[in-house]
Amino acid sequence: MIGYVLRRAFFSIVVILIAVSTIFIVVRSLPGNPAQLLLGPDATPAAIAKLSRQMGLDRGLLVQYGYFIEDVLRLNFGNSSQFGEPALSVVMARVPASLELAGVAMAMVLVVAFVIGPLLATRTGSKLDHIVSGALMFVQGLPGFWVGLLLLLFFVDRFGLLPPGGRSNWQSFVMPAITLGFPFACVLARLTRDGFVAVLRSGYVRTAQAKGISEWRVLRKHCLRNMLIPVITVGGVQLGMLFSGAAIVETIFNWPGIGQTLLNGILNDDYSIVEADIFVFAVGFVAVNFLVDVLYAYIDPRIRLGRS
Amino acid sequence: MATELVLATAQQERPAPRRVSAGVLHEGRPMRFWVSSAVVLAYVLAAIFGPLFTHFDASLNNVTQALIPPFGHKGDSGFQVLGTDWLGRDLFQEMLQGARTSMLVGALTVVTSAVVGTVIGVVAGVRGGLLDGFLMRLADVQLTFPSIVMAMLIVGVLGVSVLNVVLSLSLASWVVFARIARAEAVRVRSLPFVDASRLLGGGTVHVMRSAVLPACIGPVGVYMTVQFAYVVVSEAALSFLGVGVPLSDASWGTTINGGEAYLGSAWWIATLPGIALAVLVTCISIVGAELRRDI
Amino acid sequence: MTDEMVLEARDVHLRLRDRTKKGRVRRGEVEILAGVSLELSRGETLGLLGESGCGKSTFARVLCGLSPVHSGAVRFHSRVAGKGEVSPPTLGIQMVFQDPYGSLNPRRRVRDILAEGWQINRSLLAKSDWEARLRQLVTDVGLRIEHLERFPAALSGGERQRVAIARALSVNPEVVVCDEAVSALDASVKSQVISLLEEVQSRTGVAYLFISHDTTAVRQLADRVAVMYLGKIVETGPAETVFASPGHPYTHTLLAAVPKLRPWRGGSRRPGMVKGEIPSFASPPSGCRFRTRCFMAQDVCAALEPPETALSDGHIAACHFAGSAGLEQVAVSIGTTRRAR
Repeated sequence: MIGYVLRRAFFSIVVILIAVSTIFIVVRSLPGNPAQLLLGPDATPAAIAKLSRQMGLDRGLLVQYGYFIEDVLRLNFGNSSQFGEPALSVVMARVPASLELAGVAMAMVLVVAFVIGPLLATRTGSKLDHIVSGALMFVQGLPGFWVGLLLLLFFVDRFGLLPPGGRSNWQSFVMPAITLGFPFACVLARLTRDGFVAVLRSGYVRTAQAKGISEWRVLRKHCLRNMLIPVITVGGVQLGMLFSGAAIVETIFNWPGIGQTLLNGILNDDYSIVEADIFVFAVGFVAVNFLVDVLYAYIDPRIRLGRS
Repeated sequence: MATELVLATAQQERPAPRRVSAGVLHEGRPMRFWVSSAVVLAYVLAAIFGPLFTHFDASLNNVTQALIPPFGHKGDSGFQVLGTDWLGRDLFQEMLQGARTSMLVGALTVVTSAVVGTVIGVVAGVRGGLLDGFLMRLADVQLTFPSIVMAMLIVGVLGVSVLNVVLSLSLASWVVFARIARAEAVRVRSLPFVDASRLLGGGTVHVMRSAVLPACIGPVGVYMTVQFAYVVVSEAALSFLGVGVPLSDASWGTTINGGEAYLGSAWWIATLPGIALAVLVTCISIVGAELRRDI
Repeated sequence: MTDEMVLEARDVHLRLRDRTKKGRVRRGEVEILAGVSLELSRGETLGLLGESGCGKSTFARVLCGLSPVHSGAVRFHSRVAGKGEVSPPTLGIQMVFQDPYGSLNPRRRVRDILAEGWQINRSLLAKSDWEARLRQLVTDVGLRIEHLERFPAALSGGERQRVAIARALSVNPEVVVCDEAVSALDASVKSQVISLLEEVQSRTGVAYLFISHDTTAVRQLADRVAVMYLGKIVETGPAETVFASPGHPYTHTLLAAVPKLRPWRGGSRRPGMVKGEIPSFASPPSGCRFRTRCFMAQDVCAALEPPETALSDGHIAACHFAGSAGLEQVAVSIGTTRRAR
């Protein structure tokens, strides 16, 4: 187990390193002076010269990379050309908003999935099951950004129920959360449905029923345990989509999170922000994946007990 | 890693529908398969031939014709089936052009990533050893990072163009093909007929060509359909955000992007391409899911 | 049948990495072949008998050059492969495999499967001669010309093995290793294929290494026999001699397990002579490997590895009691040796 954890930790660090190195390569491959790019079009020649020296632009590429890594480790990404403040602090200030949204979205997903899943499982093969399962499959494939626009169209424009954007009261969470989470909700709902069906059909239930326990209690007790592994597995991967989706959702709904910040940085050539944002993304993403992996290993004894 | 399970679980079908008949390969597929295939085919044909017949002028700036709703007309503009956009361009023509762009990106990306991924997977699977370990670690790393974010970065920094979109989406997609190919390679390499090949003097390359690659074609081919849908949606998303194809190219994503500002007044600009996209993706999913039953 | 030696293995050892258990030879390694020596002469059939899992197939792979040798040597004519080497697979040795369904490429027609050797080695046969040769090959193994156009899926198990044999013959080998080639076939088909093998041998003079756990099949085909147990050869000799009066207890047990065709002919048998399960390669018994299941086992068997005892001309058995009266008594009682005189 310890070996596995260490290996995953090492792997995580490698991923962050690669993500960060990618930015390095990308920025260096652009035409023009990297220092100027980072400082933006309004930079003074003196500032550019100073930064150029600090970045080691007059030395070899390897030295530059060294300085770059050193800066990253010191969490120094320079100042944002858009905001004039340290890029990392700008990004970090936006993190809570993204986390809140993700949290709400996850909560919604879990509620939906664990309501629909068992509901369908107890009515397998029925018309309801067919229709809802088909609908889930259809909805799952819908493009997220489009769904977001549809929601805007109906709830804001036609019916004026919800605020058009930005993060304010609880209502402002509704549409972004739905847009962010609906694919995951569909996948999870179908997953729980199949899982519950499998358990219901298995021996557990018949024994329990023979003992006189109600179906619902059986579901609760046995299914939950077995469901944990696939849910976490799927959750781990879907998390990636959650992060990706954040950029889109935050843009549509004008949500002040790191996704929107990244996009604006890219569109405005603010490379300091881009670097800082990718770094935060990478760290967050990798950290979550790592936790999921460890949790997964903990629950699945096969991994824990020896994987050669 | 966890991906395979996701793929497997995400493909778990709703309760099996009644089939027409239980039969060999091309018989006995449910109705929805044929309908979906027909729809997808229609899209492809429209994408290839549509813009030839209708001439979509991207630079048209005919504000007097702008924002006409579907089935409406203004003045002597003629009959616009789906209305016009904010520059007075016929939306139907725009969507046809968009179909072409989106599908082109989709096809190029899928073919590129399938070829690259298969080669890598086959080499890793047949050679094994350190090379295999290295390539698979690389794949894991690639997989760990969310593809849209990566694509945003690449396109955003390198510039909006069809090529960059294809490049970045290919980067995101090759891993899946590599894994499929590798799995087939590992399965096939230990089969007796491969040993027989070696005894007849066949080297590694010969084995890859005659035994492994033919075995990969089936699973890889089927997965290409799934990836195609994913890529088309991703391209639309990227274009919508402004980091996809150039806004001057008509893609469904860029059209929706333009339509966002007119959501209240001219809802059709943003919604109709989305519907087209949703229908295409759904049909591809159905076709792909059905084909996957064969493997 | 000349004495010209075509293929020789001398004291071959092979170790594999054992992922499940720790081996005794070296940590993490298990010795599959513990010093195997064999000789095969031109045109002869050597039967290799043994239970499933005793290392016969592994040995076959080593002979063909599909697996490397850890120590010892494999010699085919002048090509020698020693420690650590894989003798490059040579067209002179071909193999027919056990699994009829895995031994043919499902995506190729029979004609392409048979022509593969010529495709790879262009100098073997001129392209213009392929068609004629294909037809000849196919009819030689008892199939029809139209079989050339078929895919393996359309062939039965017996037909597939015929194709496999034809494929092996397509490059005119001197040795064909039949690794349980008939074991997966139905009884009637089995005898047909065995007859085919005999017929091919008389026509082409090819030598066979016929590997099987089926004593009846080996009896039919073999000129000489070697018996293998847990990675070691325990007995070798002319087939008639070995089957009439086996020198090793293990051979006795193998033969005793064969259902008698005419049980009323007498000789009380005690079937189920073998005690216990085959030990694992990871921890073979000390001294004689067979002692844990042997009806003759004594203390000396645990202490010393049995020497190779020559029983008669060309007949060798590795047992402390080879040729002893005690062994013969037991053998008679179980009916594997007819009481002399």
